[in-house]
Parts: sequence; C-alpha cells; structure tokens
Amino acid sequence: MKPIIIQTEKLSKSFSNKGTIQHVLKNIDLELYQGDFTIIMGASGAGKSTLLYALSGMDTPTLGTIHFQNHCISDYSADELAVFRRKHCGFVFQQIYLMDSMSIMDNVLMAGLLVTKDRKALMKKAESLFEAVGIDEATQAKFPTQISGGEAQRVGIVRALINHPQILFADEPTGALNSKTGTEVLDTLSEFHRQGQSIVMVTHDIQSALRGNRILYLKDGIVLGECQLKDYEESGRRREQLTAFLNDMGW
Amino acid sequence: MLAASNIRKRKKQTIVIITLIIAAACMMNIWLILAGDYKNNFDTQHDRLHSEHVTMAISSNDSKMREFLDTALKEDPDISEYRMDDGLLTFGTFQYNGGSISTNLMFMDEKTAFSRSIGKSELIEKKQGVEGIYLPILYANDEKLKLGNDFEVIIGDQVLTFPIAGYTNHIMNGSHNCMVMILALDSELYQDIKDKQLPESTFVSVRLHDKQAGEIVETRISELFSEQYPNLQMISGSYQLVSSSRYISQMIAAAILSAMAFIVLLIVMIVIIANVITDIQENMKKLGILKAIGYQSRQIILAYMFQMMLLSVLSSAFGALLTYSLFPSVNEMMISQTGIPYHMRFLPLPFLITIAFITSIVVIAVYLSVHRIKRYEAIRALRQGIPIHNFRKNHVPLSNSRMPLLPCLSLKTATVQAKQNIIVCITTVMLTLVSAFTAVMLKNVILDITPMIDMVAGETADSSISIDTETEAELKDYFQQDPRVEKSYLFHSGSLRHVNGVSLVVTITDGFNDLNNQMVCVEGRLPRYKNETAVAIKYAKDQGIKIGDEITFSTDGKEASYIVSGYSQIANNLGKDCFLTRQGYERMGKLAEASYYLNLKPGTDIDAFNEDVRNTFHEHVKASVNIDTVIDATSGVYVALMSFIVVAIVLLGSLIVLLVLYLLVRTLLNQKQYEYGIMKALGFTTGQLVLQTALSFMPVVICSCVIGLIINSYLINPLASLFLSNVGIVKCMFEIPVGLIIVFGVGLIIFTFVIICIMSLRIKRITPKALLSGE
Repeated sequence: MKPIIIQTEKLSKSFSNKGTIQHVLKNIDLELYQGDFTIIMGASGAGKSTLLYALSGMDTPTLGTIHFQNHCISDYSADELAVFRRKHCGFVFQQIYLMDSMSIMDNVLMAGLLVTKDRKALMKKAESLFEAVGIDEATQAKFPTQISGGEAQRVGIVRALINHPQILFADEPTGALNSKTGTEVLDTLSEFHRQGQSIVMVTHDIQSALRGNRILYLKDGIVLGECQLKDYEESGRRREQLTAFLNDMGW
Repeated sequence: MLAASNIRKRKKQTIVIITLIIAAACMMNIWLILAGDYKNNFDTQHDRLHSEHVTMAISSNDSKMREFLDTALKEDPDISEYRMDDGLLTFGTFQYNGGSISTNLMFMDEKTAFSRSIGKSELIEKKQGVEGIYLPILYANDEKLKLGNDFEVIIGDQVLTFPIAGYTNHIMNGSHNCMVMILALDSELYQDIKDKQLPESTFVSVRLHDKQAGEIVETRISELFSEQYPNLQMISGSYQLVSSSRYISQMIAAAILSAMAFIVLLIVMIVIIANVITDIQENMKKLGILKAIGYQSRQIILAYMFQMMLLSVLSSAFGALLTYSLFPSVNEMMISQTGIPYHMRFLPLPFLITIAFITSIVVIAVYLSVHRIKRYEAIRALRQGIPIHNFRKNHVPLSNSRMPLLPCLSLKTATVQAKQNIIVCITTVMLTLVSAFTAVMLKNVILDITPMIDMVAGETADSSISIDTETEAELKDYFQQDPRVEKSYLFHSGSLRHVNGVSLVVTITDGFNDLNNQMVCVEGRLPRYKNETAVAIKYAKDQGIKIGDEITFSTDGKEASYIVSGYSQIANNLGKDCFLTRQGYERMGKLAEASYYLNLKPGTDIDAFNEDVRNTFHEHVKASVNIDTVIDATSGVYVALMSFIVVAIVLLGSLIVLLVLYLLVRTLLNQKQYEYGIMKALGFTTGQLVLQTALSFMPVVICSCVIGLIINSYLINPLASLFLSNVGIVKCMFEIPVGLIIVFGVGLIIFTFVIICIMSLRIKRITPKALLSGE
C-alpha cells in the first residue's frame, strides 16, 4: 500500500454569484498516494481545476477537510498556505506564468530561494534540472519572451521541481502548446514520475492522460469513478483501458 | 472616450490629481492675493486716509524751529502739502503679547489725531463711556489690551496708566515697527501728561507729488534740520520704509507659498504624465481599434487634452474659491504684523490667473505624455504596442547576488521602474527641502528664537539703558560696581546720511569685540578705527559699495569720510544701516545721549535692575528696556507665523507624499498584479510581497533623501536670503541643525516605507486562484 500524501473528507466548494449558489465540488472523499501520477479528467465545468486548486492549497474549500500528510491544510490561513505551497508543492500551469521581467535562471532561483539560502546547492540543482529538461546555459540567461512555448513550459517544470516538492500539480500543462512541444513536456513529466515524483495533472487530452497511472473522473462536482492504468510498458493496453473507462464515465 | 474611460477606470488616481490641483490652486491664489491686493492694501488705505509720504517727529514745539521747518517744506519742490501738529514725543515701554515693547511714542490729543487733514487716525472701535487712550488696532489681539482695560506705559522713571477707549488705524505710525507710534489720548488726559513734563513736540506730516521720492525728501529735510538744530531729536519715516517694515511677514509668507505652489504643480505635472502614459500602455489595444476604425491621432489627443483641461479648470476654480474660506485665518495672523485691517473680497484677477496658469501646466503635462499616440500605428497598437520594460539586461541576477531574496527582487523592480524612480526622486528631493526648511526653522526660530532675533535685531542683551552723556561716566562706574552686571558696552543707535545716498541708521559702539552677536558682520570686519565703517550688505550691493571703498557720511551738518571695512546685516533697518566706532561718529557730531547694553548675571531680575538704575539716576535716564521681554513680545509674531508655516508645510508635504505614493503604489500594483499572482502561487506570502514592494522604492528614496538633504542643507540659507533680501537679509546665516536634519531624513525614509507598506496591503486581495481562473 502506497503512503497517502493528500486525503480529503467531504470536500465541497461553492461559489455564490448574485444570490445564486453554485456547488462545484460536492462532498469529495479522496486519497492521493505517493509516487502516483494522478490524472484528473472530466468535462468542462466538472470542477477539475477547482479540485486541483483546493488540493494544492491555492484555494480553500467551503466545507470539508484536506489533510496533507498529518496537516489539515483546509484550516490554514492564506500565509500558512503560501508557506505550505512553497515547501511541499510544485506547480506547472497551462499559461506557464513565467515572470517576464526575470531571466529564465532567475525565474527558477526566485522560487528556490524562498526555501533555501544555500545558493550554491540551489544553482547545482537548477543546472541539473535544466540539463534534464534540455535547457542549455545560453537559454538560461534569456528572458521568457525570448524562448519558445515548449522551452518556457519546461522551465516551468524546472521551477516547479526546484524545491523537491512532495507533489507536483499540473493544470493542463500542454494546453497552450503545439503537439510536438506538448509531447516534449509530457515526456519530461513522465521522466520525473519515473524517478519517483508524485504528480497530479488536470487534462482534457487522452494522450496526456495516458502518462498517468491513476485516472479520476469528475462529473458535476463528484468523483464519478477512477481507474488504475497498467504499467508504461504496456502502452497499447493502457489506451484501450483508458478509453473503456472514459466511455463508461460518459466521456 | 479614451480619456473618459481613463477617468472612470482610474477614479482614485483622478481624485489624487484633483486634490493636488486644488491644493496648488489654493496656495497660488493666496500667494497672488498676498503679493498683490494684500500688499496694495497699504496703498489703498494710505490713499483713503490721505496719509503721509514722510513723517517727522521732533522733540520740540519751538515756534522758530517750526518757522524754519515751514519754510523748508514750502520751498521743497517735491512736497505737495504738509501740516504740523502738537504732540508729546517720548520713549516708552509697555506690555504686549507676553513681553514688552519699547518704542518711540507720540501722544496726540484725540481731537487732533482724528481730524488731521493729512495722516489722520481712523477710529476702528470705541468703547462707549470710556475716556482714555486709543491704541493701534494690532493690539486688539492681546487679551490684556481689550477695550476698557488699563494700558500701562513706563516712560523714564514714571509709570502712566490709561483706560483703553478704542482702537485706531494709522497707516504710517500705527505700529511699534514704524519708528514712532501715534497714541491718541482723551483731551483731559493729554493735558494731564503734558503737565507731567513730557516734552512738547511737533509731528510733521508731508505728502509728495510722487511718493517714490519719500526717502530722498526725508533725507533732504532731515539733513537740513539737523544742520540747523543739531541738538534736537528728529525721528523720521518714509513711505518706503514703513510699507516694507509693516509687510515683512506677508512677504515671507507669500514667498514660501509661491514656492510650495510651484512644487505641488511640478508634482501634479509628473503625476499626470505618469498616469496618462500608464493609461495609454494599458489601453493600447483600444487605441489600436480606434485607429483601425479611422480615428486620427489628433482627435484622440484632443479628446485627452479637453478632458483634462475641463478637470483642471473645475478643480483649480474650486481650489481658488477655497482660498476664501482659509484666508480669514491667514489675515488674522498677518494683521498682528501689519496692523492694517484688510477686508476680504472676491478678486477676479488672481482667481483667473490661478485657473489659467494651472490649466496651462496641466495641458502641457497632458500633451507631453499623450503626443506619443502619434507614434503608434493601428496595427502596432493592436499588437499591444511597445514593451513596457527593457528586459535585455538582467541588472540583478539572483545567481550572482549575495543579497537575500526579497531585497534582490526589490532591486530588480527598482531598476526597471524608471518612471517611478524619477517621480519618487523628485518628490523626495522636494520633501527634503521641506524637511531642511522645517529643521532650520525649528532650530533657529521656533525652539530658540535667538538666531532669528540676532538676524532681525542685530544685537541682543538683557537690558538697555539710555542716559544723557553728562552722566555717562557715573553710569559706567555704577555698572562696574554692581555685581549683577556681567558685561556692559556702548550700543547706541542714531541716524546719519550717506552723502549722495539716503538716511542710514548708525550703530555706535566703543568696542565691536564686546558684541554678543559677532555674526552681525557678514563679510570683512566691523570697524576698529575712527576712519572705518561697516555698511549694510543690501545697501552696499544696491549702491555698488565695495569693501575698501571710501564713503562720506554726514550728520549734525558735518561730513566725514570712512573706509568700508565690512558688510553688516540687520533686518530691522531694512538693509539701511552702518556701524561706526564712537570716535568715528564724533568726527561728525557729539552724542547727546548714550545707550548701553548689559549682560546681567543669570537669575538677575532685569526689571528690578532697571528700576534701580532709574532710581539712582532719575531724569538722566532717557530709557531703560528689558530686552528679554521686548524679544518675547516681538518674537511671538515670528514664532507664531513660522510655526504656522512649518505646520502647514509639513502637513502639505505629508499629504503630497501620501498622494504621490498612493498613485505610484497603485500603478505599480496594477502592473505587478500578474507577477504577484504567480509569486503567491509559488509560495510568496502577502507580507513578503508587501515588503518587497516597499523595498523596491527604498533605494531611490534613500539616495534622493541623502542627496536632497545634503544639497538642501547648503541651499537653505541662499534660498532664505532670496526670500528675505527685501528686508535686508542678503546673506542668511541660519545654523544648519545637522542632527535634526538627519533625524528628519531618517523619519522621512521610515514614513515613506511605512506608508508604502500600508498602501501595499491590497496585495492581500491578489490571490493565486484569481490568476489561474483568469480573474
């Protein structure tokens, strides 16, 4: 049995707009395990991103609890959540969100220096991560507006991993990329997963979802079903398995 | 449309601009009123009361003397009319404003005073049923000098008491800073004091064809008179001297207000430029659409300018109108110095000038910032125009820096926010000027008035005793034997004429090394020998007199030449004075009486000491003055005025800081909202981002503050000299309180830091979720 990283109990999230209350997440009980590459799928408006924000401490639930290991993060203040995120989580965004006013290297170091003051060790870690994602030294000195979308997203992954997060959250990381660069990014994520990194990724794309080993399907704010995919080596069967699961879910 | 959307979208920024315009308009209008109508009020009142251009108070009513004077005045081609009246000229001391005033007094029968065809006293207020003395209106603000109270005046060794029957307005002699002050008395009381051996005297009122000739005629008549009657005392005043001396405070206040108004206007300009440029950058796409559908740059520019012009006209009109609710308190403060009532009314000219000037400044600022619209073609604008920052240089690489993360990130922000830095720099430098001014005024006026008094009065001591020269030697012996006397020295003032020039106040002393205030000499040295003189720097500069030149003075009908050994400076004499040794003065004339200044041992009762001197030497004592109380009385006005100005400037300065920082922080946060969202998502706390924002302002605030304070510490005296040159202070020598200025500088930096932190608290509203969901 894999250790649990995140556990939710009756997790609910509602939005109120001009007197109308919209329940986006409804009493979700969920466990996320260490080492998993969890994929969250569902139709638009199913609550995928809302769930991701809640799990990652970007947003607070309306009701219910979220435990990260032994800590109940749903009770945390905004600043406590910020500290939690910097220490335990990494984020890869669909819009990448690099800071245009900083060089590539600084974008990464900025996140790293929040956690450690050991600049040397941090630089070493950044360089090894850059090497792992194929970003050379010349590119590291550039600014985000001077590199391609694929490169930018790989920088985003480096930034997300610089603090050795226990879990990496990715919100449609290939959504803004073309298919070739999207594949490169997914390869990078798969590689890190293979090295033991826990990942939770929201996606619409079956090709992206196939990189995971656990699929959660959300519909109308509840986890309608989940499936464990076979190992990477059996990629052909994984696709069939996923397609069947999604068909069952009404995809 | 664009401009309207700018105003709608940037409501708070617009409110800030409006507030600054209102403040600038208010100050500018007050300044214009003070410098124009308020100053002209002297002329208006002067004309209305048919006042004198030259006055002479003579310590005699001898008929031959009057005949001589009558002939001289009749024959003078510059004089249009004149009259002579009876009066009682004396030197007296009375309590005022918590201290005492010592001045020349001319008592006049009320019937004469209120009915003279030239220079009559105007009755402002009268207490029915009280027959007594009529004081100038400026004393009405003293609680102890209210109508019906007793007015006590010490003359020689006598104390005279009169009930206060009313207040008067006399233009040329209605204040203690007019050489001689006229006091109207009930006829019976006048007769009473006449019998108490007060010298029967003559008051001469002269009107000229051209008032500008006042000083020349005054000098000419004085010269003629002193040649004929060297032993008679004549105290004269001219239109120029009195109009300047009664409006010193008004001139200082006007100069400070004008400077402040221009500072605020400069800030308004900068803020408008920054605001419009930011708006254009943010609305680039909208601009592209407008251009794409056929709007011309000119139309868009005009729309912006019209909108801001309208805003400026309305705000400045409001600010100028606001003046009229603030002016009564300014007037109240000024009247204690001028002593001439001023009736507030709407003045269209300053009102229109204020609106026109401020609107022009605003239009120029808008044009300077908006003309760049011409450069953007439609397609370029649609593609979001130009990048806001130049990212090609990484000024503070995190990999190489040894600083902690937050200062590093702050420095990064600071290095790319050029506009922000310029605005902060200009604002901070302006505020350092305010800080330096405040510190200097605190040190030299408010906390300790001595430096200001030294500059205004030239010399201060504890007591001054005037005695006839026959008894002088005995008095000196008395001082030597009295253990209460620490130091006594001759310090006598009189008047003489610079041949081919005007009448000057001369200060005579035996040893200039004895003076308490050696700073009275601002260049060269005070005279040591009988053929040397030191001349007022303002007069010397005006006349082109250099150190080493030889100039000729005359008095008592004799002339003598002196070498100029240095320049002196005393504001009281409005820059028309000189210094001579006693031997030097006696080359022309003998002193009839001599005034001695005394430093008494600490704890000595000065009044008791003066009384002892009066009791010892009786009628030989011409005047005894407790200088400490005189300083208290006269300095009160300066301290109150300066305190008011300092408080106003500090409040205004703080308001400007608040408004400018508010604008900058808001603009910065708008620009940084996206980045701060990312940073929050990555784990930055609100506190860290607030700190980072505040720190990003600090390098430029600290540098500008240090540079500004150093520069302004050197500039403050030349600037003050510029403002005070009209009153004879050409070389201001206020002590620069370095410690206080450093404290102010540190205070300014801390204040700025705290304010930015408070204003940045809206970062709390930036959430990572809002960024992700595209809010």
